[in-house]
Amino acid sequence: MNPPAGATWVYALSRNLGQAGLDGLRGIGGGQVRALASSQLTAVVESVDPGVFSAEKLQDRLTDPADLELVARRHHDVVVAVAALGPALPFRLATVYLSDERVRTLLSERCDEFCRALGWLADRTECGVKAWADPDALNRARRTQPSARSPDGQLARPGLADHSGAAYLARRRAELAARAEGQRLAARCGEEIHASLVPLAAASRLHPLHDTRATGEAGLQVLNAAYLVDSASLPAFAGSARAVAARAGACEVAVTGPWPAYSFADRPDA
Amino acid sequence: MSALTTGELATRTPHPHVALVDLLDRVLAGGVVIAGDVTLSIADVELVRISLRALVHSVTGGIAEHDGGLRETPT
Repeated sequence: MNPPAGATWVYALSRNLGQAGLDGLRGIGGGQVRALASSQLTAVVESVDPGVFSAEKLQDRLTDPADLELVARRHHDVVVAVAALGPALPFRLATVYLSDERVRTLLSERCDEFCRALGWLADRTECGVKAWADPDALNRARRTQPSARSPDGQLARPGLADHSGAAYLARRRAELAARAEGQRLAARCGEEIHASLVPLAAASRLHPLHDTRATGEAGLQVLNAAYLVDSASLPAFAGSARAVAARAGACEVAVTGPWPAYSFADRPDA
Repeated sequence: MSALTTGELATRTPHPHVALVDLLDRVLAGGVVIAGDVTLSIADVELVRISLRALVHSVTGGIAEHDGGLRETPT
């Protein structure tokens, strides 16, 4: 099988974007990033070596941590540069076409849909909100409340001096029940924060929670969400996110952004 | 550390690796997805798993081997 003659990496779509704004911008393969126009739409692309960016080679690269980071960051850098010039529709990492012509065909075939999405995203930006909770602390706080009741009323701790098997089992059961209750409270904390922020955003999306054992963070991540907000109200939204997280009992919160609207690129009618 | 009584929250300082986690959430699971006609088509869920495993390796030096450690958000 002959290797393909060319490969075109797609970063993002924009509207009426000239080449001038992209001059000097280098992409994943180190080449000049180009504006590829078709009627009102402009795809921001780069010609990459089809040998280096074949499906197989790219899969290999993306499973290598260092290469994955490099590719992800370069892709992101270009998307950010495009988003700085106007409404931008980011493309999923590793969208590679066989030729410019195929990209133009895509633009003309789905022009209405893309234009609608760009209109929807105009003057809006993506804000990330992550929150962490300490299940033990939430549980302790709940227990100290006068209204707090243990689920089965059997959680009173036996004295530490009691070494009998029954006492051990009771302690163990109490520990497990407390842990489950802490997890439940932590999950509810995340749900509360999200429910409070949804009305303040044009759209929202929940990302999978990060395992804090992997990221080395303390506590339990209870929320990892993206919100599409008016660019002008981003600072106010960030302030609301922090306040809401504190009220819900989170121990930490991180607000990220503004991001190009990655999390909302496929939802033109949301 | 608890915000329960004071209402004060610690704000995490961005860390390069943590920022990469956020970036991967977006570039691997977000963006316009074109089905067909592309030279490359990646099953995104699998890729996210692969990349997170790679990321875990890069952050912890391979300490955290944990199948099933990825939690899904409730739907």
